[in-house]
Amino acid sequence: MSGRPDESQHDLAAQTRGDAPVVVEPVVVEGGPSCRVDTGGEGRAYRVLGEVPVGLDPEGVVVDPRTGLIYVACSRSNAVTVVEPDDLQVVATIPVGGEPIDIAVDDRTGKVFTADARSDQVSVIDADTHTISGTIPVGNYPAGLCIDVARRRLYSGDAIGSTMSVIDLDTCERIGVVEAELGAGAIASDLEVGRVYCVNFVASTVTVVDAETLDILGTLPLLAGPCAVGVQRTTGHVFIADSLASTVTRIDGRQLEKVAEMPVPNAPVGLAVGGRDDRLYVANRGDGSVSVMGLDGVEWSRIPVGTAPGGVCEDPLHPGRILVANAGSGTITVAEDLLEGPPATRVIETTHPMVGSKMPALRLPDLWTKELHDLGEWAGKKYVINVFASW
Amino acid sequence: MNVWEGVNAYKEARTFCELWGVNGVVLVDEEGELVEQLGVRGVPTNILVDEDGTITCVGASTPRELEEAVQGLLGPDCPLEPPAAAAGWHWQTEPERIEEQIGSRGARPTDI
Repeated sequence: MSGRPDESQHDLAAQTRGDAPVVVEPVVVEGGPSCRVDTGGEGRAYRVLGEVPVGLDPEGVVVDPRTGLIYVACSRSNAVTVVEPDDLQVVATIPVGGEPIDIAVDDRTGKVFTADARSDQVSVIDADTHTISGTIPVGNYPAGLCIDVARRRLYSGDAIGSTMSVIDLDTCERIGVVEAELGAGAIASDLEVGRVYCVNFVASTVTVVDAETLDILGTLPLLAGPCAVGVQRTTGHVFIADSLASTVTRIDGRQLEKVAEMPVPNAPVGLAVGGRDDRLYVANRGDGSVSVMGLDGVEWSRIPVGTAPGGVCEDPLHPGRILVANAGSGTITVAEDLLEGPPATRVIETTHPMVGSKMPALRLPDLWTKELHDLGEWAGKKYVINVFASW
Repeated sequence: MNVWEGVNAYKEARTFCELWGVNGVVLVDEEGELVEQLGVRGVPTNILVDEDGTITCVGASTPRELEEAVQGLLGPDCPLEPPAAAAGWHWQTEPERIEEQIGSRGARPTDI
């Protein structure tokens, strides 16, 4: 199920483990049938423009539409990395609070916000000077942000506090708190009807809030581990990535009804509704890929990105250009989705290339004792290795 | 096997394992050497290996996929037992445990 390893990406990933961002030349990788996607013709499904080292455990990524600059929340670097979009050079690193997970930009005021999970605050960055202009106390362990341009608000999903903080975008003060559920994180709003959706990772629910009154309109059950959400503008349908179930749940937000549960490759952690309103971009943390999906759940193409991708967004200045934060490789991938619509044929599933191979011989230390274990010591037994990271 | 922590790998992995009740041997692939050799592109990933050291599956991240893959590895003569209810708590039914262990200010136990 995993994507085909790409040598150029491995080389770049190897440069990402230090604290200081490293600038590299962009890499262009054409995507098409050889990359497991059969478009049914000569056309390419995608183009990977480059992969840029940004810092440790990047989780959130956003573009400032005023300047085109890319802002990346690097949670284990406790910093935001700023990338220039044309030549993909790192131009600034801005220290913020502890463990920034999500990031959002208000293009009216030129403020960039980060949800600093371990500091229980939202940092406010002046995008013109790249300095911190303030911090906003919120609930315990903020993990998701959403800007409501119509009401001049910023919402923060406070995971351990089980709340959704409501912040005035202009005064940068918390003006309300909504009781959500444990694991409150990703948030999206339906500006048309004034509804806000806060997904709760631990409770596996979505809390639906009236944006005007901040009353809770309902709570819907979801599959396990929901952690990303987006709203289709024209219909108000809500798409939620259920990371532990490997599905995307589609909800009719205006009727508060579940419409579908759509399978995706592996551990979807990031999700964005494309600007054309006809497709989803789903970052598969377990697969090292982004699925381009129709709203009906049909996968149009699968773009190989860095390892363990999470946050994904579309560049508002370049429709079809997507930015992906890769937590494992400490990079962002910049890629172009070249499909005008559903391809004639679809993604071809392949067996992982290592199936049928022998386990490599390697000695690794044990977490508890630091005693070295040779993988060969389990010879003669059947066993399962679960590969995990704590983030 | 823990990978890609980036910083404080042992501390972060121990906290994670204590939080979620992970016991037994946990290998630390701090530099990602083994996962690169195995072509692992993300987490979680399960790797199933048979008795002669041959990899039979890479992926199987959801409970259902893992169950099917393990059943395939074991063969029809070894039906899987039902999930061990007595093994302890479940994170979705006892979420207050998460709050207790993470603490009142989002700090993890080993940060204190």
